[in-house]
Amino acid sequence: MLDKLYITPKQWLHILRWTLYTLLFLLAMMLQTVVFGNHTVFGVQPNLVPVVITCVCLREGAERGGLFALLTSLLWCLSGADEGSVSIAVLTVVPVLGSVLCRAVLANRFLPCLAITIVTLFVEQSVIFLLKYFFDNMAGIRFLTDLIPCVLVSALAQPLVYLLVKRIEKVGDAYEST
Amino acid sequence: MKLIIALALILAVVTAITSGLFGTTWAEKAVQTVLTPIRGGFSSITRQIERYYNYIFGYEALAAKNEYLERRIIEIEDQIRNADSLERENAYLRELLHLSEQNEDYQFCDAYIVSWDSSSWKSTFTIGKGTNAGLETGMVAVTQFGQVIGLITEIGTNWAVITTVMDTSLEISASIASSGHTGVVQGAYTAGEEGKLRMNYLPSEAVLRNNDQVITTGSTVYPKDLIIGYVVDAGYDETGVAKYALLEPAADFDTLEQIFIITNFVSE
Repeated sequence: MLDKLYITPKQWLHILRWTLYTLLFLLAMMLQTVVFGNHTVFGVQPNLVPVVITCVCLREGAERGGLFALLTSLLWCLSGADEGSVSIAVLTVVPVLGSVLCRAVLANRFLPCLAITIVTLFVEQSVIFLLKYFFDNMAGIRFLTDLIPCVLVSALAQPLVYLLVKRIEKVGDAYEST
Repeated sequence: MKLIIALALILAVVTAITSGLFGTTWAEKAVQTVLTPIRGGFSSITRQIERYYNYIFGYEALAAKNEYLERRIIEIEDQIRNADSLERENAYLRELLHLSEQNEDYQFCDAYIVSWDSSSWKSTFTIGKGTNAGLETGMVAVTQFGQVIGLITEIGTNWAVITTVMDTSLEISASIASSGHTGVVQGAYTAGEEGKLRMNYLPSEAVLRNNDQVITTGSTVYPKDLIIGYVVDAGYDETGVAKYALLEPAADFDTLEQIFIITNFVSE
């Protein structure tokens, strides 16, 4: 019984890698809700959670990364995110499709990842905006004054997040090569 | 991959339906309960860092603010002298009319903000107290100066979500303190009015002046005479038969850290 519970060093490294991804997601969530919730960058609130989810999904592939996207977006929704149900669908479907596209057509590098991140941010914010526009009488001009700047400012965090995700992805590589 | 996409879509629909039908679900409450202490810790670290930053880089701003406050104190002392005589007269009139002293029935519960809403599309924040401190949905949050901040709209054991007056979903019955004209105050979503409140349904004969104070009219939810904001602009609404006023919120949301919840009051 106990020997079945034995975890190999390779499995330990696997657990460490996914724990680091989770901590990165939690850090982004805390920064977004605690720090940037009441402070703006260039007049808008950055949206860091989609950036982390997209980067991890793209680096880890459609299946493992997709599962990560599904679970984290569910947690994001349950933590009280604005229009959280939309986030579950958008933050899973767009990064997964982006990952497939990246691996099939584009190279799995920085620039395609940046492009997919911008698309994810844009789609998520647009769907929330449209819901507010049709059901909450939001002014249409805020698409230009709020949504576009929010997407662009959030995308500024992508290079740093991408770098961190790439580092975390390499956890265990040295062990496997020996 | 198809399974993950299908699961995501199903979960999105299920969470939308359950939150629409039942409000805050047990799963949301559980996640919020776990996250609130983490957010509280993160929030206090952020506050400490901000204090150090302000201490190091905010000296000139503080000096200017100090000068401004000194001027204000002199003005206020002058006003207090006038107010003293008016208060004596008022007390006499109250006694004559057998009116009870206002606001003595208020009971407060203080709380710190642990996180703010993550989007530009609504205005809510979470505090680190909930039903364990005797809070309930529908209770009013104010500053230490009696300025309205918002209403508790969701609650858990150790957390509560406050929807602020800046959010369009909140409507408050209010009146202009100087003239007594009544209207309904809500957040302004129109372009160019961000960060402002809008007071609708004012009668066309209402005379509105800059810096007119707007206060609550009193209801079972909001106590009477809480300060909502100050008039900064006015005009006729889209119908052309009623007036509206744009208000600067009385509470300073940018520097908000600690708030007070009115847990009990006697509605008139």
